[in-house]
Amino acid sequence: MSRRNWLKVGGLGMLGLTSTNYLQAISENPKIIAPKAKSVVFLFQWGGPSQLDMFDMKPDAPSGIRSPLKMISSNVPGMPVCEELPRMARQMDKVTLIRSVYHDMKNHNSAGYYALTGHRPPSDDQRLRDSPDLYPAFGSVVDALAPNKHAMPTSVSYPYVIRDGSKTPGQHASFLGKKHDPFLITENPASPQFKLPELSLPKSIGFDRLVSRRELQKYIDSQARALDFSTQAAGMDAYYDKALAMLHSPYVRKAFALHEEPQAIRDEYGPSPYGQSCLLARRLVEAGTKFVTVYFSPSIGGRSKTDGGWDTHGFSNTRMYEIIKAYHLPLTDLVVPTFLNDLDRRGLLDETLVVWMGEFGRTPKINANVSRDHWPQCYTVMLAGAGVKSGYVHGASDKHAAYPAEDPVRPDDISATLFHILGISPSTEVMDVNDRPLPISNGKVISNILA
Amino acid sequence: MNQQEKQKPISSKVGAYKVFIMLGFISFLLLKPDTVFGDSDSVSFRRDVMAVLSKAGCNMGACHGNKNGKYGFKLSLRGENPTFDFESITSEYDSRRINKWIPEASLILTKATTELAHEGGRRFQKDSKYYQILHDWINSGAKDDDGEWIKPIDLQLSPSESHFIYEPDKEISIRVTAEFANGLRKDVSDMAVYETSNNLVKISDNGLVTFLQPGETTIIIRYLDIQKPLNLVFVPRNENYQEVSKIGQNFIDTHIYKKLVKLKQTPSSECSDATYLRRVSMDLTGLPPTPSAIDEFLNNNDPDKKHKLVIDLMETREFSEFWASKWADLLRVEEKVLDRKGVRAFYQWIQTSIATHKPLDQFAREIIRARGSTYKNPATNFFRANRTATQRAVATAQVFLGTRLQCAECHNHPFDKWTQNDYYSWASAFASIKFKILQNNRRDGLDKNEFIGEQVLYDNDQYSIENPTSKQLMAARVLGGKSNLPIGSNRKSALAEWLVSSDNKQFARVQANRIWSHLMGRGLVEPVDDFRSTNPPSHPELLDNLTDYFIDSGYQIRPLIALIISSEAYQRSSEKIPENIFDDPINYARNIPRRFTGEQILDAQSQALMVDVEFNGYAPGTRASQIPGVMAIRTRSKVPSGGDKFLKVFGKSQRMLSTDEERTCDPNITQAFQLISSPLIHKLITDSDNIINQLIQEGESNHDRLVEELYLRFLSRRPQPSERAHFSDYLNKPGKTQLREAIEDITWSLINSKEFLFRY
Repeated sequence: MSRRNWLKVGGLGMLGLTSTNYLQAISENPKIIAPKAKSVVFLFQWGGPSQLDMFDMKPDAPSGIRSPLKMISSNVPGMPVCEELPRMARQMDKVTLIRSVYHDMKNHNSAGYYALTGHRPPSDDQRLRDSPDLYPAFGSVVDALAPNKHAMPTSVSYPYVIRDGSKTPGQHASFLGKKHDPFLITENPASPQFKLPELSLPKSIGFDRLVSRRELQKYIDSQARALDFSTQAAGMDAYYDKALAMLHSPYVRKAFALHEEPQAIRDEYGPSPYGQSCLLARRLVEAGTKFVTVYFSPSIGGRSKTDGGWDTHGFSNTRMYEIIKAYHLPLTDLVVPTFLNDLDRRGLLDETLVVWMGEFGRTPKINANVSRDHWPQCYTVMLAGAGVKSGYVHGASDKHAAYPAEDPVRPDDISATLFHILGISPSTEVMDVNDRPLPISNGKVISNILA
Repeated sequence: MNQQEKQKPISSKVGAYKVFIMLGFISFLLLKPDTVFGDSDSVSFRRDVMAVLSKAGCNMGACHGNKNGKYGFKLSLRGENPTFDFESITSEYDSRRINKWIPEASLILTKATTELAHEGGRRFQKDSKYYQILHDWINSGAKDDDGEWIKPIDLQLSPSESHFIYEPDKEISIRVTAEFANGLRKDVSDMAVYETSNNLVKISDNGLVTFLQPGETTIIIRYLDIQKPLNLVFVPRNENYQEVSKIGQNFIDTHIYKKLVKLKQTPSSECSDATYLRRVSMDLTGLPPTPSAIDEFLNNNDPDKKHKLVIDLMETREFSEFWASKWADLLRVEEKVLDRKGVRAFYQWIQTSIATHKPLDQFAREIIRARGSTYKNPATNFFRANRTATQRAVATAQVFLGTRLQCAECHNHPFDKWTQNDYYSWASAFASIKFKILQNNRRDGLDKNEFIGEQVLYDNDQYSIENPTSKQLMAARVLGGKSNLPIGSNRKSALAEWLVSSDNKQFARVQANRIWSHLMGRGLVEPVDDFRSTNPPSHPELLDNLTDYFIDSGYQIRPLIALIISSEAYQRSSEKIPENIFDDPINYARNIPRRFTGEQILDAQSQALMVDVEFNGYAPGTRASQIPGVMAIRTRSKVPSGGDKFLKVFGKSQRMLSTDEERTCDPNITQAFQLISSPLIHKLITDSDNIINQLIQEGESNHDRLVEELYLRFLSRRPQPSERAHFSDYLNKPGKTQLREAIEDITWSLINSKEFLFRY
């Protein structure tokens, strides 16, 4: 095992306790808790949805700040939502809202990186470079620390690689090494032809032919005595076995075989890539994937009524409310409640934590284009399912949803909570490129929201 | 005894020692090491309490040494700042952490013993010496040492240097003696911190090392602010061990064999000529030998043919390209910052430097001194790629001096001697480097890191930058130097001269070690850009000799490469034999197989099948090893080609960092998928114009010949009779009417074989 890949558990360099017995130390450490969730589905709302127009409405604020959209009550007192989210209003008993999330990154890529890794970037730079000295994606940490033992990949991300100008950092394994990259799908789950290139053999190659090829390969390998004792070569062999198992496993194929889902259910989620991605998330969670990242959109968007993310500045003479009323809010209101319901009726919500968050919120003050700009100082994050309370609000914003008024929460705390719920102590350390031991999260578990 | 009586000022004691020493009582004091400070009942904060905080791990980066502290309690990392720690422990939170009236109720004791819940677990027992020290210190008033205190100035270790332990023994007790400024010595074995870089050993509080498995480890022993490495080797019993009578070709083998004898390991025998040819060709040019080159070499009876092969290959264009890409990784030759034109220019400059035998010292000097346009004077691109003075300082240290300084940006380097002042003094040496951006054609113009267009490097009159902790402007110095660099236009020349001067052998050491690692798969110092006293070389004398040899050859890489390849160590087989069953990767008893790079694998396939691989932005026929940069066309403008994807999946460096380690050869599952089912490999195998077509046309019926040709092309050897038979059978199989399909299957399995993918 190379020093770089040597994962250490935090706080264990104690007297007489060296790396050799750190495994015992884990079980002795009272802070290591049993996992409350088997899986996490992270619904990343790229572009930054508005807290004031969805889950933290301020109808009493002056015009120019309050949303032009009306507030409606939900099935939980004290958790009203926007009138454009009527179906969501009937599911609020399943969720926890954190209305006091804040940080200081005003640019999409730096804030996006913060949200996707739980680590504050070194600078608030729009061109924060995606390099191996930045932190890994949540899913990669999970893959490194608590990998699946079966053929299903531990961590899956789709259906895009997100970018704003340059590629947003925080989407892969970074210094943990490529083998911990999330299994990335860039095919569109909503497409009738949806299938994975990795799980698809070239047309002329049936699985039987592949097996006979693998036999020939094994025969050649059996002659290569010089490589018999290579751990690296043996490692490659293990990957072949796993790859072939994935290619052959009806279980894995089935998980990704969206077309086998009854049409009625596919319709419930709607025809959008986001909807079908959430449906795929349910299938992956069912099959044992531990961390699913669904990106709402590939770009920050904000100018279109038919695609793109939440970045509604009103640029190019567009108008935020027309756009989110036509696209973002109805899409959310269709997909998220359907997803929560579907998980719930299959008993999966008890073992799956759903996280709905963007990289920041939007300005309390409505701008000259009747739209809102970036606002990391205070925004809302929604959690649902395993490990968290339901019908619960944590923290509060001030009267304009401009700053946290109670229980401020940093993205670091969300990451700590997320790892905690998955049963991984947030103080667990991983080695970076310079062999520095770094904790996977610097935040505090938000114990008030734990179920 | 009441509090007042116990608080005797330590300084008066110091004075007392001085008197003692002057009076010649040294021998008396040495006989009573526990009383060297005159009062075994009085505890010093800086000497004793600080040592306990380190020993118990409280000030580790994961715990209260974290830059944010833990749960509101912050200590300086590894106790680098005792003044800060004293404040933190005694003043904050209304002194809750210490309770002078009821010492045992102090938080630092109740937490550490887990009487109160402590996330960090139990750090020591209530009946331990460590508890006693903290307790006594609090009980005596929790004072900082007044004025001067007697610092340790050196540590003596026993054993003092690399030590071998032979089974059935598996333990060794390390004694650590601290020498203090007053000349006195004290055994601090139970106060020192022991850290290991791997999991071969366990170490008790007082330095008893027990090996859990055979191997070699470096233990870093730290007492207060002094640390020293100790190399320990646990040699397993080896009944099969046999000494070898004839040793080696050159000094490399002498040194390696000397250690193998101590390890009781017999080296594996020499590899076959075919293996040698494949190894050398791949190592020097990135390409396997062609079938005709194999024939020629194997049939050549010249006793000097191995050496001649090396000399010939080193003069090829492929050699200069393949070795240029190693430098391109380190010098960050990539399009986002340098742009395409800059990438081409810089790469060509590197490749030409290698092709024309430019000595490496001159190569480095030209980079450091470069001025002017990034297009016209391509050496300026190293500083274009690294945008700030600190980035330039860090990159220069890492690439040319094998020194990682990153830690010292925010705090003193925990495993090295570098302080924050060293860091910023060194960074000041690069403060004057500025770029005039003549144009930036990037569309949005927002960018601070990405450019398209010409830039001009010039020097202004900024000669120093600030240490943000002390707020002091730091005068520029060479790394670790004592005198300041000149102010004015000769600054960079002075810097460049120092970097490669004979006073600074470090440059040559690092480059010699890096060349060694390219050929041997591992540096004598590993990682190759992480030289420090706490990371000693596996063969120190060998590295010294290689360094001298490199300097004596005028910093030319070729003589050193030829020397290494001529060694038995390089030419050893990869096979493990019973005589070297202790299979450690760092002593060269055999060759340790490693995966080829993506470029090597792709170029080898392309050559064997005689089909080009496509790379976005390059003319057909361009080989992977000839690509100057990372990605010529942005991925959002054009979907990466199969070849581009393949290189990325196989760990080609994205050249974002100035380190050898950004290129990775670790296998992963995506690589397996690439080789199993990617459209790229499928297309290469099924291409109707590839070699398979030719082979079929040449002699459909001669299956033996066909199998042989495939083996030569992919594995650089002839098949064994059994292999020949096995595959002839496959081709003859009833029902296999499609000969082409059967050959494609064999081709696929050759491409996917370990022998093809691994250097062995």
